[in-house]
Amino acid sequence: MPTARSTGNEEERNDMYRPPRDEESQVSFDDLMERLRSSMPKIPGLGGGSSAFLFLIIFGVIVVIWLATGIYTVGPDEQAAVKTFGRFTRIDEQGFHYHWPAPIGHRDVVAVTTTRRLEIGFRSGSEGAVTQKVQSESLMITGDENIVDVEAVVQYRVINLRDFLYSVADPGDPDRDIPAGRPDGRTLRDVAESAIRQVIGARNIDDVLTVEREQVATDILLKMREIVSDYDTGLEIQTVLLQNVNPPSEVQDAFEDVVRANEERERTINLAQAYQADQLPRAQGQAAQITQEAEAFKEGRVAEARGEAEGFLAILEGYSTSPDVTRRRLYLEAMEDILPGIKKFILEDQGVLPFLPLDGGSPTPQPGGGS
Amino acid sequence: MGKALVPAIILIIAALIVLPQTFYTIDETELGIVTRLGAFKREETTPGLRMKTPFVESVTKFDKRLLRVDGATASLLTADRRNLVIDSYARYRITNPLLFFQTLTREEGADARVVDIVASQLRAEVALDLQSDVISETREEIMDRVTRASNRFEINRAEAEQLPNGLRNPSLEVLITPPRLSGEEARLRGRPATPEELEAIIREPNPPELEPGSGVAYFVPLSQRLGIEVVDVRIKRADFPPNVANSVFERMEAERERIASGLRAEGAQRDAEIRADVDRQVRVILDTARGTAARLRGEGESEAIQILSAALERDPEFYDFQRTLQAYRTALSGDTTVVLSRDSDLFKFLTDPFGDTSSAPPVTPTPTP
Repeated sequence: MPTARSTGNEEERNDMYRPPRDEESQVSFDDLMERLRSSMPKIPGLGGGSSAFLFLIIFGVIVVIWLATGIYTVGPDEQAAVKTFGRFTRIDEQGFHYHWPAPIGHRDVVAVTTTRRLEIGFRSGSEGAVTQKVQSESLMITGDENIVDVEAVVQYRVINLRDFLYSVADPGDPDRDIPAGRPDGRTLRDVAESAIRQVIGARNIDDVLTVEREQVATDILLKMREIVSDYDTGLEIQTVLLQNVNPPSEVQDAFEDVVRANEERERTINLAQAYQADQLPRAQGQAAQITQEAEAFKEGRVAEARGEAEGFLAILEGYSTSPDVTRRRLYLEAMEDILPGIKKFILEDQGVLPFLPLDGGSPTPQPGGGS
Repeated sequence: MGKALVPAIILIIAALIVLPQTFYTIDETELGIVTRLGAFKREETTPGLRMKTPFVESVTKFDKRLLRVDGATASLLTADRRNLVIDSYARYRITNPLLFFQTLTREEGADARVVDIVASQLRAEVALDLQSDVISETREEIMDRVTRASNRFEINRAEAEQLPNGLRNPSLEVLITPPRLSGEEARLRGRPATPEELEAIIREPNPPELEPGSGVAYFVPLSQRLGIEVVDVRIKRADFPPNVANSVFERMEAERERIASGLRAEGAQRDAEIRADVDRQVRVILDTARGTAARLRGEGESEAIQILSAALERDPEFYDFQRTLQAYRTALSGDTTVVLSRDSDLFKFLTDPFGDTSSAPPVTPTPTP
């Protein structure tokens, strides 16, 4: 409270209101200038008089750093979405750009042309790491109430940056280094799993494992696109690849045994057919041999008969011209051939017949012939 | 210097207090509600820098984006009394921030509320469906029904009558629920009332025109009551409970074993068939050949006989003579002994060059072996 007093040392009367005097302010200002002048040629920080200047320098550096938060570059496969005071203002393409310093301006730089990948049922990890299975994701029920193990890869990319950044709330996926707020985090994984299980659930296990694999991948792709079209994710689902479709490991052996059984069946049938291919020609050859032998016999018999007949007819012809003479001749010729080679007895009469050693010994001479 | 500084500091402090109370930003992903002393003043939906009256007005911000909530994994019972472990999720968005603020206040409250709504609808719907439907083709329909049912907010008849235009309010949905079902299940299977039925219902709550046992339920859209809309509900996973999964594996194994032994048996059967057929064919071939051979041999013999007979018939007696002589040649060999009579014609010149003209026929010798 200012009170009017006239006397006393001015320096002692601190409680009196004193209007500011020009000299004092001038002095303080001059003081500053003195300090500035004195510190100018010197390195800041030396001498006690430069502390205010030090603050100025530090303040200046802070300001520069602050302004520098607005500098950014956009790579060739990237785009940047820029917000000012939270409102979207523009999209920047490749190059060197500037926006209002943070937190007034804000940018999100996103690779837009690169194909990204989402793995379902497994994690391939970094280069060289062993693939890990995620059974809770990969085992699912088929239409005929069997269980199958499906590993799939979804390939997608960002096509609408505004939707991608601002339309979908998502917790992100730290495994894939996807920050919160990006729809390719949990949202995309949910959509993928839902689509895969729905498509598999409409088919039998044998179809899924064999003939309809292509169709399944296409159906999953179409289903994912259908679901995502309601969400404004700014993503384009490009392909769905079925990495591995197998029976669950618990029953793998039984499935492999079916393959083996089929191979055995094939082999057995092939062996039987080989037997057929061997036996039939062989039998036919044998049959031909049999008939040919009979043919030969037939021809032989006929030829033999013909020969004998013709021989006889020839002789007969000769005989017919002079029968008696021919007969006689034939008879004598035969005797000539027969008689030399056999034992003979020429006797007067038949009386000695009982005494002949008919068993082959020489005959005993008996007293002269006649009874 | 202190004198110049005090007002400066005061100014800075004042600015630091007042400025944040005056200026605020609405992000691209946000909606704002501005209230003055608790009373709603306005919505802020456009993003950017905004101003409000400091201290008196306050802003509450909400997420404008599509929001996501996980349904807790639950074991649900199907119509055919099978258990499925179902993992679901739902997406919703805030359509009316003021209403949302008044009823649900914050997103956490909304999340819990949406989970409740969706879970009860899903449980009721699954209880009306067969397990095979939930797993397969009709899954899409099931999820659609749950989504639609989640977006219906049930009110009673008194509230319905108080709507603008009463029971004829265009956003009022009147469903006829079938008999023998109750609660959520009845509402899931309810059908919209026809205009005639609606007229009857307007006259009295339970008109006789309706099938006995059926009920009437009144719904307004969820967005009109809670300011949110459920965009979709999807079943992410529908799996067998762990104990059922094991028996499924056993069944799969048994089925594969059956197929495998079937294949092996088929192989053995085809093998036997083929071999038997081959053996049969071989027999036929050989028997036919043998038959042909016998026939040929017979023909040969017969033809031979015919040829010979034809020739020999010309002079049978001469043949007899000639053939017998040939037989003598072969039959009578070294160890034969014959007794010949001197009276034989062969020896007629033996003692007399002019021969004994008593041409006794040559005697047939008695051969002694």
